[in-house]
Amino acid sequence: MTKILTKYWDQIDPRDIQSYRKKGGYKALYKAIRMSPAEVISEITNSGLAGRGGAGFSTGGKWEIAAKQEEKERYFICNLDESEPGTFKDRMIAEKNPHSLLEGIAIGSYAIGAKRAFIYINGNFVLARTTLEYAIEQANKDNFLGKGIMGSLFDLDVTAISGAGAYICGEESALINSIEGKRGEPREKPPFACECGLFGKPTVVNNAETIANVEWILKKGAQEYKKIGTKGNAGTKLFCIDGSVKAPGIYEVPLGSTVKELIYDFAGGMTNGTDFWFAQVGGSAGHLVPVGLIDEAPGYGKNMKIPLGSGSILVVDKSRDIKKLMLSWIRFFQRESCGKCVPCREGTFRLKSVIERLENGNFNENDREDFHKLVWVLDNTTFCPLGKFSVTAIKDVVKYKYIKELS
Amino acid sequence: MLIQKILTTFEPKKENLLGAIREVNKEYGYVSEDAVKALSKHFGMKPAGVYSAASFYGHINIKPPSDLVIRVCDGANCDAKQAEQIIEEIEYFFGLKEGDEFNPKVRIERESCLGLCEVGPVMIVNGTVFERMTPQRVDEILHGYA
Repeated sequence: MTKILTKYWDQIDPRDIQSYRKKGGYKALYKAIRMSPAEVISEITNSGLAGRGGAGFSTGGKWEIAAKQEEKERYFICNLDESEPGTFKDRMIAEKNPHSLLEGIAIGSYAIGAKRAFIYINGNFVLARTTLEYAIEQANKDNFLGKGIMGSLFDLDVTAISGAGAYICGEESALINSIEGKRGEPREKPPFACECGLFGKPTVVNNAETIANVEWILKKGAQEYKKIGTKGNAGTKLFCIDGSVKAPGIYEVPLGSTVKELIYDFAGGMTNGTDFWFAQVGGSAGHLVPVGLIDEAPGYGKNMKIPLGSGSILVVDKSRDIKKLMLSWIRFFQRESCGKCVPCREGTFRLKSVIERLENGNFNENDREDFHKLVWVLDNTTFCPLGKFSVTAIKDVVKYKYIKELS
Repeated sequence: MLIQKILTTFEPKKENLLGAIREVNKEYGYVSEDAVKALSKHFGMKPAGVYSAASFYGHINIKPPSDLVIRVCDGANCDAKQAEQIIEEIEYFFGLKEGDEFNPKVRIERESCLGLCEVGPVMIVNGTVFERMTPQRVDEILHGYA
């Protein structure tokens, strides 16, 4: 099975640039700067690489929009503010193979014409930050970043910035506000970041996992990349599988693998004595997958039955208390709601108190009515997707009738 | 005086503000009114702008923090591994509810997700991370701090 991201994880020393170069590192960048930016973009577009953060927007498409803008000053941002519960793939990439990220950032910056790039790291990731900073220093010294990269006229300055514990900063416009030294609240869209982003300039924000794929695509070609995965969902994906499975951990799997394959072939199946109830795909903001959907493959695109999201899978067995789980989800979103819009700020708070009553048995008829109203409000009226995400799983609980009080 | 020393390491550009706030918070434990004024002068912003940014983030304190801050991850993954029992155990140890501000010395907080799911559940005591926690280990660890 082809491995793209995890292939060299335990073979290279993340603190030594030479060990990365021995595995063919920075060859893709060498190739890229001898191509025109438009050629690089079309290579990425043809590969079908889609945003791995969860939205699944075409990476090449994003770059193309930014490259088309008239403004000459542009920015490239690597989104490493990973804080979706149950997801730790980007942290692993930064800790195990930081130079693959830097190479991808350099290629992307070259393609869109950015001279300045940022890596926005979750404030909790201390090791990832020091590893990346050390890698940036080494790459600067060896002229893979900095002025006149590898003898060309392309300059790039990469800066690592740490967040300070806000989930919403993973949303691209909130992330941009955060870098600008403002509150990390999302912005009105449109204009999208690739038209008018950081300091009002065209900005591409890509997830770290997306960026880590770039160097492989340039080295091996878009056609090779397309061969992995399925039509419409090319490439591999990192899955963080946790919960009631024998071997929880992180796995690189071609897209198109079903939930059943992920649980039984990769994570070793259910732990002894437990009974599969459902899996949650995509962190706390993810949909639930009951037994009936287990043979479906999670993926990007409107007609997929299971949206992939961030790519974490939580396997839940029948002994788990669903009300406690609901409380965990809503607590998380209530805490992380940024407070910009009322439906989300108040809605998550009220929904939390209703679910608390549901959990401790004081649920009454009025609560039932409120519950459905609040779920609707959060689903339909919030400013940014956080409010919608806060009830994705809760809506599924209602849909599959896991709690009889709610139906 | 020391705050000026921190500020000299940051160029007065907007993108450095969050880093400077983090550094001040690390040094003093919180971002005081005086620190906000110094930051606003250095970055050429209004104090309200600096304060609004500083007060937004979970890791930045705008009040002096408690001597002992215990944070437990209660994300859906850690929740499945007895995180709730661990919180109960800590609450019992101090006789204090999670999130309460009655005791100026101790504060218990929930947090998620720390991205440490594979070694969860995690408990963080004044910045020290304890991995693969169990409710049984709570007493032993907290005795070292109390």
